[in-house]
Amino acid sequence: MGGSEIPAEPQRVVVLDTDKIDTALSLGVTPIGAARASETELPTYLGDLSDVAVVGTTAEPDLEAIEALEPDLILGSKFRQEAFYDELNAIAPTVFTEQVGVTWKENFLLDGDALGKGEEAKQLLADLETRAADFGTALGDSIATEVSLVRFMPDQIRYYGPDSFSGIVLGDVGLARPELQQLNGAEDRRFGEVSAEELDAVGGDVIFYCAYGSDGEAMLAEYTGGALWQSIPAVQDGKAHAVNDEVWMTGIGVTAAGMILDDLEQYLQA
Amino acid sequence: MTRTELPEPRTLPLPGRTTLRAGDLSLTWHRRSAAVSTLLLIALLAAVTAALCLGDTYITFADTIATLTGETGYDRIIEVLRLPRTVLAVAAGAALGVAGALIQSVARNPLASPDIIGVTAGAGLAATFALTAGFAYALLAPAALTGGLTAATAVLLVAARGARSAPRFVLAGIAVAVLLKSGTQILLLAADAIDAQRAQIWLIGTLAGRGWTEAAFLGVLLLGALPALVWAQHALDTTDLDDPTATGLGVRVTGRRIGLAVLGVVLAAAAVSQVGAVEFVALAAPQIARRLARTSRPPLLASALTGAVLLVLADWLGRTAFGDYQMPAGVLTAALGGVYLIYLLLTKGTRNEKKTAGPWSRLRLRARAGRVRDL
Repeated sequence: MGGSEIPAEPQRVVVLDTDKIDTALSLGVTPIGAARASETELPTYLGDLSDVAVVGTTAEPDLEAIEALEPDLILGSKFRQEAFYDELNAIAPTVFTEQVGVTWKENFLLDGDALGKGEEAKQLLADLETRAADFGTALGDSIATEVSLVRFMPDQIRYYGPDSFSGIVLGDVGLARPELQQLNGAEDRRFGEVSAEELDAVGGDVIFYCAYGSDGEAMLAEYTGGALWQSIPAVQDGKAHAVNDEVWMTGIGVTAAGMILDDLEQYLQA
Repeated sequence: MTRTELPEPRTLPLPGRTTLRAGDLSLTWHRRSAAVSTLLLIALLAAVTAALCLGDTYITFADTIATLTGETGYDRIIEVLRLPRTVLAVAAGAALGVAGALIQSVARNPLASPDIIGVTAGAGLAATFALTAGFAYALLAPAALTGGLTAATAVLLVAARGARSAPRFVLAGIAVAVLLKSGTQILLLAADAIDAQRAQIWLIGTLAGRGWTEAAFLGVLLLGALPALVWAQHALDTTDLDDPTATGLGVRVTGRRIGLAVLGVVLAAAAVSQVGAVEFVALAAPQIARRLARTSRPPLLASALTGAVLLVLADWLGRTAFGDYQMPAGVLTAALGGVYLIYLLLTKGTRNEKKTAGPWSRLRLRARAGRVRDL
């Protein structure tokens, strides 16, 4: 979107969606400003971000704070900040990616190009995919292990399908998924909702679960302590693992994907 | 037959009003309303000045004026980030204030503001649908406008069956609004999280990311409606009469009421379509203006100015007062307007309401009785 003049090597970059923080840092660019998700602060899995100024939330960026940083490139999501495009583009050349999640790899390459690091981005992505495939091969017969993804949110419990960010990483490894979580035939194959009464329906030989925000943490504590959760075979076998929501869900990027592979290597290795 | 010379008509001074005559033309205005409007205009200029000067970057008044007239280092902050949304806040606030005043006057009920009688709810449902069904962004405002006008038409049609009474109109509006709001809730629950979040912000109402396009639309509409508004100010004097009196005087009450209501509904739907479902401005602004001006019904100009002041202040506070969090204007219009209206209700009752207001008013009544005796 937009036909703005982007500097060949942007130095002062502002990122307005969580995936772009991962993207910029993965490519060695520390953003001068970043928008945070409304429920949380800037991610912690990327190390110390105390030099990164917070410029409002992803849904409502603080335009004056962005202006004051005098950026030379702004990366955003059309989905979230379309209304602000004119103002942002008046401040600095602005590049929007179209969708979130499903197209995370394309978004990474597009943002990489905008940052003047298109080749590095391609290389990082190729390395990640090679690592995932190699890990899949190394798993041997264990590749048939059905991996279940469960996320506790403030108002619902979700399982994540093959088109979600972490679902795509599992797909790159070649791991199997429980029937329910394959979301076969669904129009939107990113996630589905499971009610608290049928929490045991999530299935899977191994479960990775996480929680969004502090309200999600409260949900997690309540339900994973309950009899229904304790009755799930994977839980009884000690194969349910709490993981970092920032890495598996909100992160979205090659660094987060690499850390998902770290978790998989830790818990799935025979 | 000799023509009898008619005596010069005696001009009775209207209480609280000043009349200017030039031949056949005469202009009458309510003195206190005029004074209140002047003060509100000054308040609006002060609010606009604050909105332009104060923010993450402090820009002096002199620099702001210099930026508006020429080039300084602040062009981007003033001319891209602050001025457009402030001008839009003035236009949208004024449109909502006038719309509220018109509809409340016609219905003779302060509850009959566009937020209550379905305009806002209709626009909200249409906008939520547009945002969650993946419509192009450019279709958002037209969809909201259509939704608002359709809902208002439905309310008028429901209210027009049977006795055309004001309470019936309010009840029909509330019923339609509740239906529409439940439809909006269903859409929100079924929607994707990101879409639902955008819709939520729209439903609160915000000026962030909006600017000249929206301001120009409302500005042109308000200018175009100006003759109609001048007529409305005059027509309101007669619609304020109770039905038998007005009919007895030969005023076509129903026709005028419909004209005034349509004008109000169009202005409200237009404003809401551009800035989202900003609540309470249309309800509170006319009531604040009426209490300040001490008139029997909301004065139009003062209502418009009050609405503008409210929205400019709400937008300015929302983007400056909460750190890096950008509070949507709609959250603060309710807070500001609500608190001020409560203050007025507690301290400055209208004359009628004061009758039973304790020893002070009894003293004042005695003083007045004394003056009457002296006459």
